[in-house]
Amino acid sequence: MNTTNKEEVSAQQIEQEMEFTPAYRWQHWIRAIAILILIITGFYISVPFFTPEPNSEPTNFLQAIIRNLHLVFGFVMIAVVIWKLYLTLFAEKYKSERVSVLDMLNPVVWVKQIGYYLFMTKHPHLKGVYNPLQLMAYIGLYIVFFILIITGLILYVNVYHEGLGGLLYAPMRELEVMLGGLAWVRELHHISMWIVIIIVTIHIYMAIFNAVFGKQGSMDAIFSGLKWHKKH
Amino acid sequence: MNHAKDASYDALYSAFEERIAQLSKLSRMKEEQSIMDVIEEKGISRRDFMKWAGAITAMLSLPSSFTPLVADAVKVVDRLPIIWLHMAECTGCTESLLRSDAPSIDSLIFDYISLEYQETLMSAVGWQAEENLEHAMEKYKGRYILMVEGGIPIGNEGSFLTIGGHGKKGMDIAKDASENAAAIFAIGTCSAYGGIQAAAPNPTGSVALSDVTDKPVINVPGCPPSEKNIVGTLLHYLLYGTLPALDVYNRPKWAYRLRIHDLCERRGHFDAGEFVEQFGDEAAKDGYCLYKVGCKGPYTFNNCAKNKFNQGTSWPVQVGFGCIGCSEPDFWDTMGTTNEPLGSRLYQSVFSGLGADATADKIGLGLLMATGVGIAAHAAIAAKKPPKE
Amino acid sequence: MSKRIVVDPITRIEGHLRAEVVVDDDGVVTDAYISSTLWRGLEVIAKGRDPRNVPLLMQRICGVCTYSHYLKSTMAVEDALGIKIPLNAELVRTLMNAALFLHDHVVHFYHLHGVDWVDITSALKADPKKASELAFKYSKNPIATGENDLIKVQETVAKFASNPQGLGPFANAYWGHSTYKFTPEQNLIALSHYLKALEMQRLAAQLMAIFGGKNPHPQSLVVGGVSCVMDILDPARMGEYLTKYKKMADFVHNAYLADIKMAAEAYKDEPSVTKPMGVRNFMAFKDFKVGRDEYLFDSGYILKGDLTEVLEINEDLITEEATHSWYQDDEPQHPYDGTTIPNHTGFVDGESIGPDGEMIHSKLIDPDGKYTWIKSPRYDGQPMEVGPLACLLVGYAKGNTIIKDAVDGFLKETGLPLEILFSTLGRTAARSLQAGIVADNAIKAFHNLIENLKVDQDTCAPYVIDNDKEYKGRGIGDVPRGMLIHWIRIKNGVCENYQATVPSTWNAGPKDANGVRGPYEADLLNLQIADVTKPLEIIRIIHSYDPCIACAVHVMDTKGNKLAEYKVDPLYGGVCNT
Repeated sequence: MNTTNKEEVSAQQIEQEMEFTPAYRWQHWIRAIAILILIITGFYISVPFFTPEPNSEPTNFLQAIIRNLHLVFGFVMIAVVIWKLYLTLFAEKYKSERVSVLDMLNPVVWVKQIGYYLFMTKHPHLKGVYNPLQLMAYIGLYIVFFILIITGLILYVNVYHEGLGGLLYAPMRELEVMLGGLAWVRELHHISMWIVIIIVTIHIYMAIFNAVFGKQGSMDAIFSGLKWHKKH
Repeated sequence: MNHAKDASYDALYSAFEERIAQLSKLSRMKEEQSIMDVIEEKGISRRDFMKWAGAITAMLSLPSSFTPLVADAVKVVDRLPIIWLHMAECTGCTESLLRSDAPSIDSLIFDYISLEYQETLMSAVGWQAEENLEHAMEKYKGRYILMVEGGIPIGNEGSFLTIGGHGKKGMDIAKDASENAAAIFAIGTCSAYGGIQAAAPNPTGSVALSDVTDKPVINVPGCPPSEKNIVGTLLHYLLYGTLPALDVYNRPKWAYRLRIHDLCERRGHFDAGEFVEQFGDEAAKDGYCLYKVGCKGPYTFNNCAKNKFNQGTSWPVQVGFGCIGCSEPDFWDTMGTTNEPLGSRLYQSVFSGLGADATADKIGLGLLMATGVGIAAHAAIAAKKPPKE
Repeated sequence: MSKRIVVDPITRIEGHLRAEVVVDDDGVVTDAYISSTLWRGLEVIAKGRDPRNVPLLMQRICGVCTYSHYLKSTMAVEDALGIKIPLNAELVRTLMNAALFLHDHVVHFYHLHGVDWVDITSALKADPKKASELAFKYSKNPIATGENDLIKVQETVAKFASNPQGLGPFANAYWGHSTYKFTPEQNLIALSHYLKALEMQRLAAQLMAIFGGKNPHPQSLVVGGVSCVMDILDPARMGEYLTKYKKMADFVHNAYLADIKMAAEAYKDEPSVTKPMGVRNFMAFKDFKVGRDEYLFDSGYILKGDLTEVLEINEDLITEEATHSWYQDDEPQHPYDGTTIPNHTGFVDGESIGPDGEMIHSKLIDPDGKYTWIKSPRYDGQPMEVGPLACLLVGYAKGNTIIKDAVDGFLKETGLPLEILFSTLGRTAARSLQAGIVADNAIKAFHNLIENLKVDQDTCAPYVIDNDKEYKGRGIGDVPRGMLIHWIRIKNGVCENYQATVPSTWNAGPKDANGVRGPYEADLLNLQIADVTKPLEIIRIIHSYDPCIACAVHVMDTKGNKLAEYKVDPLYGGVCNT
C-alpha cells in the first residue's frame, strides 16, 4: 500500500503509532460487512430479484431466510452502532475523536480543508482526528443509521409480536403514525439506505485519496491499526 | 400468557355484563316490541340467531363463552338511533352496509337500529328529509350514533358541498351533528382520513371528520370497509359502552390490529420466495404470493384475509390482484404504483413532468452515478495536480 | 303568481342533487333547474399518477356504478397502450358486468325508485290472499308472494306504522299521495319484493365478487386483462357463478319484470308519468361482449324520437360547456389557453314553498347565473338522453332482434303503444327490459368462456409503457346508467390528462348558452304537481333517470371544445395546449 508513497524516508526517521485500536477496527469491519449484507438483502426484500425454481413442495424458504439474514445483521448493526457511540462519547482512548468538534467549530480549518480538497490550499493542522467535512459526514451517517434503526424496528415489531417485538410494539406504532404510516416507514428505510450507499462510496474514495496523497495517509491503519510518521 | 388472557377476559366479561344490564334499564325508544319478537317475526329461529351471535363473537376475537352476551347485546341494540351523513363520497360505504347479512339480519338492522337519516335509503325527500334530520338530532340528543360517509371538503370555505333548501354547507352539517352524538363513527377511508378527494393535490381541501370536530371519532376505514367491519363496530360499541379499544389511528383493534400480510392465505409463498411475476402467469395459476405485482398487504392493517367480503365470497388477494392498502391514511399517495412493489413508488418531480417515472431506486442510482462522476473527476485532477502538502 | 319549489336533498340517489321548479297557480311547472351540490375533482387527482393506478382511482367516482368506471378506465389505458386483451379476460369482464347490471337495476327499482311507485302504508289494507292470487297475473312463478309471505310482510309493516319512531328510514315520506296508483294488493306485492330484493342484491354482489374479489369496488381488472385466473380455472367457482346467476335471473323475470308490468297497468293513465319527455334525442354505444364478435347492445344516436334513422356517433362532436356551471368561463377565441377553475357563486336568497305550504326563506338557484357543478354536454350542439331507454331505442331502431323481441313483447303484454316509451314510465320500463335482456343473454359469455378455456388459458396480455412515448386512448361503452367514455393521455409513463364523459352529466346538465335544456330540466316542464308541498311527481321523474351525481360532476372543458383534446390544469383542471 505504501508503494505509491512518494516520500522517501528511512527506517530511523519514522515511528509507529497506534491509530485505530482493535476495538475500533473490529467494529469498523463488522459494520462494513453488516452494511454490505443489509444492502443486498434489503434490495431483495424490496423487490425479490431472484426466485427459486418453482416446485410443488415449497420447502426452500428463500424469502424467509433472506429476511432472517437481514434481521440478524440489522441487530448486529444496532449493537455495533451503540458500541461505537459509547467509544466515541466516553472512552479515554477516543478523546481525539471528540476533540475534532473543536476543528469543526473553527472556520479557518473549514476553509483550508475545502481548499485542500480543491487542490488550492495546504491541509490544515487538526487538533482532533477528523477534519470538519469528515466529521460532518460521519455525524450525518449516524443520523441516517438512527433513522434506519428506528424504521427497521417499526417494520420489525409489525412482523414479530413476541419478545423484543412485543416490548417495543406500542412505542414503535406511535412512531409509525408520526412518520406517516407503515408504507412511508418502508420508504424512509429505503431512501436512507441510498444515503448510506452514497456516503460509503465517498468514504472509500476519500480513504484511497488520503492513502495516495495524504501526509501520513495509509489505508492499512484500518487493518493493522498502525500508522507511521516522521520522528520529530 | 394464557392465564393473563383468561383473567383479562374475565374482567371484560363482567364489564360487558354490567354494560348490558345498564343498557337494559334505560327506557326503551320503541315500546312496542323487543328484538326477539322481531327475530321470530322475521322467521329466524332462536338457534339461527345464536349461531349468528356466535359468528359475531368469533369475528370480534372473543372466546365462545361470550356468545350469550353478544346475543343479549343485540337485544338492546334497538335503542340506538342512527344518523348517517353523506359528505364528499361515492356511496360505496352505504352499498357495503347494504351487503350485510347473517340470517336475514340486514333487514333487522335496518328496522332496529332506527335509521333516522340516511340519504340513500330514506323515503323522505327535500324539506321532509331535512325535518327528519333535525328531528332526530333534537329528540335523541346525546343518544344517537353518528355515522359519516365521505370526506369533509373545507376548501373555499366549504362551498364544494351544500345540502338542503337552506344551502347549508356539508362541513357545518357534520360539525353540528357531531356535537350531540353519543358516538361518532367515520365510515370508510374518506371520512376517516379524507380519502380519495384528499389525495394530492386535494383540489377541494377535503379532510377527515376528526379534523372538523373535537369529539372523539372512531375510524372504520376501507374503500369501502367490509360490511362486517361496519356492523361489527356498531356492536362493539354496544358491548363496551365506551369507545372500543383503538389502535394508533383510532381504528377498532378487533378489526385493524393485524396486517393483511399477517393473516394472508398466500403468506407461505411469500416466505418461500415464490412470487407471481406477471398477472396470468403459471405462478398466478398456482396462487403464489402477489408481493411483486404490487400487493400492499405488508403495510396495511385490516382483517380482509379473515372475514373477506360479500359473505366470505372472496377478497382481493384471492382474486389474484393483491391489496391496495385502502384502509391506510393517504394510501393513494403513500402506497406507490398499484401493480408494483412499494420500492417502485413514483416521486413527482417539479421539472414539468420530466423524470415523472422517478422511483427511490432511480433517484438513488442517479445520485450514486453523480457521486461516481465527481469521484472520477477529482481523482483525475489529483493525478495531474496532487494536493498541496 | 309563480312560486318556487325547492327539493334538496333529493334522496335515494347517488350523490348530492337539488331540483328547483317554478310553478304557476295551477301547480304546473313553468321552469326547472337542476343543481348538483358537490364537487370532488378526481380528474385533477389522476394527473401525474401511474396509468395502472388510474382505473382504481376512477372507480371511486362512484360506489354504486362501482364497476363501470373501473372497466371503462382500464379500457382507456389499454386503448392508449394498444393492448388487445385475451378473449378470456373480455368474457370474464362481461360476466362481472352482468352482475353489475342485475344488481344495479334491481336496487334502483326497488330501493331507490320503488317508493315513488309503491305506497307502503297502503299495503296494510291489502287482502293477502287476493294479493297472492293477483301475483300470478304478472308472472307464472311469482316470488315471495305466497299468502303466508305477504301476511308476514304486512305484520312487519303494521308494527312500523303503529309506531312513529319505528318508521326509521320510511318516516315522513309522501305516503297517501294522490298519484300513487297501485291498489293495496299491488302495493303489498311490490313491498314484499322490496324486502326480498334486499336479499337478492346481496346475491348479485356475491356474483360479482366471485371474479371481482369484493363488491362494492371490485378489484380484479388489471391493464391487459384480469387477475382472477385461479377462480376462472376452478370449476367449483364457475358453478357458483352459474347457480347464483340463474337465481338472480329468476328474480329479474318473476319479480322485477312482473312488477313493471303491474306498474304499466296501474300507471298507464297517470299523466305525470306518461307525459311526453322533453328531450327526444338518444345516444348509446355498443357494449356487452358475449362472444368473440357478439355484442348485446348497439351504437348510434337518434334525433327527435325518429326511430327510422340511427346515425353513427362521431366522438369528436361531443362537447361540454359551463355557461350555467360553477366553473369560470373561457374566452371562446382562445380555447386552449384558458383554464377552467371552480367558481362557486352559490345560491341567492329568496322564498320557496315550505313543507307546510307557506312561503319560507330559502337559498335559491339564480337561473340567469351559474347554479350547478354539472356541465352541459352536447352532441353536435344537441342535448342527448343516455341510459337503458336510449340503449333500447337505438337497438330497436337498428333492428337488434334481442332488443326488438323484448320491447315488442312488453308492449304486447301490456297493450301499450310504442310512444309510451318516450315517458317516465317508458324509461323505468326500459331499465327492467334491459335487465331482462342481460338476465337472458349474458350467460352466453359464460358458455363461450368455458369453450375458449378448453383451448386457451390466457387471461392477461403483456405490455410495456415506454416512458419516451406519448399515448392517448379512450374506453367507451354503455353501462347501467348509459353511455360512458373515459379518456386518458399518457406521457413520461404517467397520466398526463384525464377526462370522463358520464351518463348522468348528459341527463342532469343545466341549460347551455343557447338556453337549450338538458333531459332532466326539459322533462319537468309542464308537469302538473298535485300537492306543491309534496312534489312526488318531480322525484319520480328524476329518479327514473337513476341519477348518479358523483359521476356526473367532473372537471373539464371550455366552451364547446372537443372533449378528447382537453387537458386538466394541475390545480383545477384547466385547458392546456395539446
